[in-house]
Amino acid sequence: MELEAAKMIGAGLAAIALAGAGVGIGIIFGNYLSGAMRNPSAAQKQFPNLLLGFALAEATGLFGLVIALIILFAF
Amino acid sequence: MATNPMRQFEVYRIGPEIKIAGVDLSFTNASFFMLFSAVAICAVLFLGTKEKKLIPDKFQLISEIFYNFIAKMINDTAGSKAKPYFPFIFSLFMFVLFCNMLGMLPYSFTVTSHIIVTLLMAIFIFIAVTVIGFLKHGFGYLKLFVPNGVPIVLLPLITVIEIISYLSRPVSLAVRLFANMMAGHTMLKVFGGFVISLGMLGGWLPLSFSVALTGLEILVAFLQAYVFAILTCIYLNDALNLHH
Amino acid sequence: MANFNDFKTRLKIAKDKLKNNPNNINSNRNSSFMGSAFKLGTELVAAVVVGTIIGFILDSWFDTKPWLIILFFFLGSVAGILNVIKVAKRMQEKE
Repeated sequence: MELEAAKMIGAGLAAIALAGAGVGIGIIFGNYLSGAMRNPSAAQKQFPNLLLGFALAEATGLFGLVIALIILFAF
Repeated sequence: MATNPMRQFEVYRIGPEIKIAGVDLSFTNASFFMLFSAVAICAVLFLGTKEKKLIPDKFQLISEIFYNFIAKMINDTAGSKAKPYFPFIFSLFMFVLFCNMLGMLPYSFTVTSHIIVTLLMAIFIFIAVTVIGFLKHGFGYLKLFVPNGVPIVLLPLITVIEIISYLSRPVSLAVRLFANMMAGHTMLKVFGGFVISLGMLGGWLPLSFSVALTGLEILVAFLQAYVFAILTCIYLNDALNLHH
Repeated sequence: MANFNDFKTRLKIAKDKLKNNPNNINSNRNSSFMGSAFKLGTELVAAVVVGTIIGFILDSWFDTKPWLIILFFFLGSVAGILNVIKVAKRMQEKE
C-alpha cells in the first residue's frame, strides 16, 4: 500500500476518537441536568464545574483530531 | 480570497526583515496580533482605573468584573495562600481571552491557534508551578507523587504513573487550547467555502450553520480561556497545598 | 421604597468618608504601581532571553545544538521566576 493511502486510512481511523468525546459530554450534561432537577437551588453553584467538565471531555476528543492531523501532515 | 481553509494560519512578515545571527526575528502578523491584544488589555484596565468612582461607569465596571471573576476563582480553587500569584493568573487569563476573541474578527489571525504559542505558555506555567512547589516544600514536594492510603505492593507502579501524569500536564494544557482554536477556525472556513460553492440556491443552509458555529466559537473562546486559567489554579493548589 | 432611601443614606455616608480621609493612594503612588508592574515584566522576560542567548552562544562553541539552548532556557526561566516571586512577596508584605 502506498504512503498516501495509508495516511488517509490512518487519519480516518483516528477520527473515531470523537465518538468518545460525544459520549463523555452527554454523560456530563445529563448528570448535571438530573442533579439540577433534584436540587434546583444548588444548581447555579455547580455551573463552573459543568463548564470545566465539558471542556476537559471535549479536549480528549480533540486530542484524537490532533493525531489525525499529525498523521496527515507530518509523515 | 483564500480558497484553502488552512491559509488563515500562515505566518507572514510585516515590514523589514530582521535577522540576528541567522535567526529570523522580523515582525510578523502573529507578533502584531499579540501586541494588539496586550495593548487592548492595558487600555481597558487603564481606562477602568483612572477615576475611582464609587458607582462604577463602563470601563471600571468591566475591569471590576474581570478582577472579581479571577479573584473568586483563585480563592475557590487555591485558597488564600495563592494571593501573591494573582497577577500571574490574571495576565494569563486576560491574554488568552483577548487573543481568542480577537481571532473571531474577520480577516484576523488567531495567535493561540499555533501550537508553539500555547506550548510555550504551558511550559512556562509548568516550570513556574514546579519552582513554587520546590520553594515552598523543599524536597518534600516529591511527596506529591506518593499518595497516601496506597498498599506498599502497588507503590512503585503508582509513583511511575503519577510522575507520567504530572509530566503530561503542560502537554495537555497546550494541546487542548491549540486543538480547540484550530479546529473551530478550520470548520468556520470550510463551511464558508461550502456557502460559495453551493451558490444562490443552496447557499443558505451552510450559511445558517456558519452563523450558529460563529456563536459557538465565541463561547468556546471564553470557555477555553477559563479552563486554561482554572487548570493553572488547580496545579498551583497542588503545589502550594500538597493534596490536603 | 424603603430599600432605596436606605441605599441613598449609605451612599452618602460612604462618599463623606471617602472625602474626609485624604486620598489614601494619591496619584503619585498610582503611577508607581504601573512602573513596578513594567519592572517585574521586563525582569522576567530579560532573564529568559539572557538564558537562551547564553545557551545559544555556548552551543555555537561546543556544537551541541539544540540541547544547551533548551537547558539554558529552563535555567533562565527558573531564575526569572525566582526573582519575580521574591519581588512579589516583598510587594505583598509592604501593603
